[in-house]
Amino acid sequence: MSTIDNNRFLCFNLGVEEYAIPLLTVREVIAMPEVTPVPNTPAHFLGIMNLRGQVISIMDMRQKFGIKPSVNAETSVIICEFHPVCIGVVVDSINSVINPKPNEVAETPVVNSQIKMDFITGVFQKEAGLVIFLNIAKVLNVEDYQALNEQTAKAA
Amino acid sequence: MSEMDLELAAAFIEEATQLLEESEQCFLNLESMPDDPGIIEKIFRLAHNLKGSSKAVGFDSVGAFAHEFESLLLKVKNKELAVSPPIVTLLLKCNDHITQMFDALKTDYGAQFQSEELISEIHQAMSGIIQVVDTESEAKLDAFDAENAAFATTPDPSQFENASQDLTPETNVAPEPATAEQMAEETGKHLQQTNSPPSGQKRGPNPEESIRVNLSRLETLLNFVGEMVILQSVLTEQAQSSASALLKKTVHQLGKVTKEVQDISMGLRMVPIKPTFQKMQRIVRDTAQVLNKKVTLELHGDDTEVDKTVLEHLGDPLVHMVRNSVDHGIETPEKRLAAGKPEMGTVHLKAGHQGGKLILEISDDGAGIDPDVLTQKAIEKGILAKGTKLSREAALHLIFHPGFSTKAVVTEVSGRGVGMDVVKTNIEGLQGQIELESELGKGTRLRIILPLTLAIIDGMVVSAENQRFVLPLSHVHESVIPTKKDIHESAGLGEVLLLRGETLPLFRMSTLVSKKPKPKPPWEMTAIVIRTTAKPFAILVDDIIGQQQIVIKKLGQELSQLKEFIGSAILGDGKPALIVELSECVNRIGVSAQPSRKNVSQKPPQRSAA
Repeated sequence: MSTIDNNRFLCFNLGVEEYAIPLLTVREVIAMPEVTPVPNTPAHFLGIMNLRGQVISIMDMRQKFGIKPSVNAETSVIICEFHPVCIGVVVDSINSVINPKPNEVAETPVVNSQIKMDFITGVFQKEAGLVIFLNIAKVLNVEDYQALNEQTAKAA
Repeated sequence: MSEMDLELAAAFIEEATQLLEESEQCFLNLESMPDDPGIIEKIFRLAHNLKGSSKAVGFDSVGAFAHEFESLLLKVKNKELAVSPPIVTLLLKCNDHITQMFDALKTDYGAQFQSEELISEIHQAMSGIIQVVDTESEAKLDAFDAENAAFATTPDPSQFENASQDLTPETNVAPEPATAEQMAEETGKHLQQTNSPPSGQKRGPNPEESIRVNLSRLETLLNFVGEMVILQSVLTEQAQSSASALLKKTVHQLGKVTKEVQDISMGLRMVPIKPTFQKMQRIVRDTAQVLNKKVTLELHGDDTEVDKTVLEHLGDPLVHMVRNSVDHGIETPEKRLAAGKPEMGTVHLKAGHQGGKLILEISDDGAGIDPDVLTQKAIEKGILAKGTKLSREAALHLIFHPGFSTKAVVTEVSGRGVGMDVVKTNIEGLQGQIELESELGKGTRLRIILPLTLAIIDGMVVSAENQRFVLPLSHVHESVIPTKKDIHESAGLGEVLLLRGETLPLFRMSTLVSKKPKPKPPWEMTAIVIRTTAKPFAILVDDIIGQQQIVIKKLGQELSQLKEFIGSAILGDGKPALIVELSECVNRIGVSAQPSRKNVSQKPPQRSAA
């Protein structure tokens, strides 16, 4: 059971590019809600929303990656859960759940780039093109938040 | 240990902690009323319960010590030992030791303890009267052991019933006819693992039956109840436009039920203040003993219920205040007699509800505070400039100044000047206020006014730059719509509000919210005056939308670095709004005069979509 789950990924589109994240980090997918902006936060931090009584922060991955959002009505929010942090991620569209065999996932092609690429865990070739596997926690700097909180807890 | 054993042990430890608090209270009463047989009966029962149940869940070392403790108590009960201060001190010491053992057990169920020293002390105390001990009482003790063994190994309630009934005639623990029942009741209350119904009613349901619920589960429940209330109000709104009378009626009924559910679930967080108050007895006693003073503490309204979170933060301030009353307030017996007061000083600790607030009051009949002495001390310490004249009230409030102490020497009890500062910080952290009254020679009275719960606050919803924000109403002093002549602007000071002869720095909420706020003349906006910070100020908002009770929702960890928002609230339309911490806000507005923003991370790499 767990091996199957560990190997399932949720594919979504950012612009015309296709990305995937482990299904286990996904709590649910919702339609784009009304968002209250939070001042003094980075541009990709859209704000906070009310998810059945829980207040959750929403990030726009497209802005984070500098991808032009495609104009369609399919915009969705993936609610990702990394205990205890819970963050919503805005994507252009949700595509499918894939279950690739380990040998189908290739290593990240080495790119000469100044951009840190450590949040990409691999690529998968589909008929239509490449799917890029993301370590979503790294993209969202979840570890930073956790470390930050530990520090503030120590200081208090 | 099996899982069930572990659960039993955890439940037992929790119960035992309560039991110990209760017993401590009894010991303290014992000293003031040594002749009251009821008290010692009660202590004895508590110790007995503790012994039996600690053996039952396998904490043998605790059980062994409790046994010695019980033997000592038996002597006191049978009047073979007089209730003298040394004995009470020894009893309290034993109580402390047991408390320590439980503290250790909380983290490690296998913890072992060194009790020999205290046991030998108990033996010494008992040997003082060893000749009085006759065989009869030894036999009684043995009988107890036999009963305890049965008690300890009987999960079966009926057997337990027999045991406790047998106990009565044989060992004379309970001369009054009611005591067997009482004991069973006590046991039922405190030792849930025995599952015994009160013996009197033959396994009828216990009227005081209760279960323990994890606080986080409760909070989840409250979350959903809050959400339900919001949905309910949305539904009510929609039903208004519906033609169906039946729908309207049903929605109305649902509204009533929802309100009821909300009230009940909010009440679930409330716990009585009694245990916290009872701890104060011990503090008064110990402090008075160190200082050679005679003080009694009188508790009023200890059944008052308080939000659990509020209560957790009240413990420390109460300790400081009670100590201060004994140390600084109450005089030595000689001085009191000379002043024509009774030798015994009294400290009153009161709790009560008043207009949706919790009121705590600590008063003493001591020497009172001399504002002139405080002012002089403050000048000596360099807190005030020389020759400063303060109003009486302002001078009294010097005691809350950090580092301020009138004591020349730092003692075990006080003098570091930290205490009242802590009190003030904690109380203000709880959105509370402190009032101080003192009359020289008559005494001092501290009143603490607290919100009943931290989970809900009264909020003022305001708008700025088309966004809504919530200000805690407790911070809002007043709101004014300034006229043109009330506003002065200068390059050096920025905008200043003239309010009844006072000049207040004027900030704009909009500068906090957006980088390029729309310029708007202040006389078209509303100024909200804040006086809870060190320096009063006013903040301009576009409009006041309303006041309402709001449930505070924590922000995620990813926003914890934003100190200017203490949380968020879900407003009537289901959208969240940020709750503003105004003092932090003003810091930020001050900073944001410079263009750089600390929180912005590096610009994301620009890529064009292929």
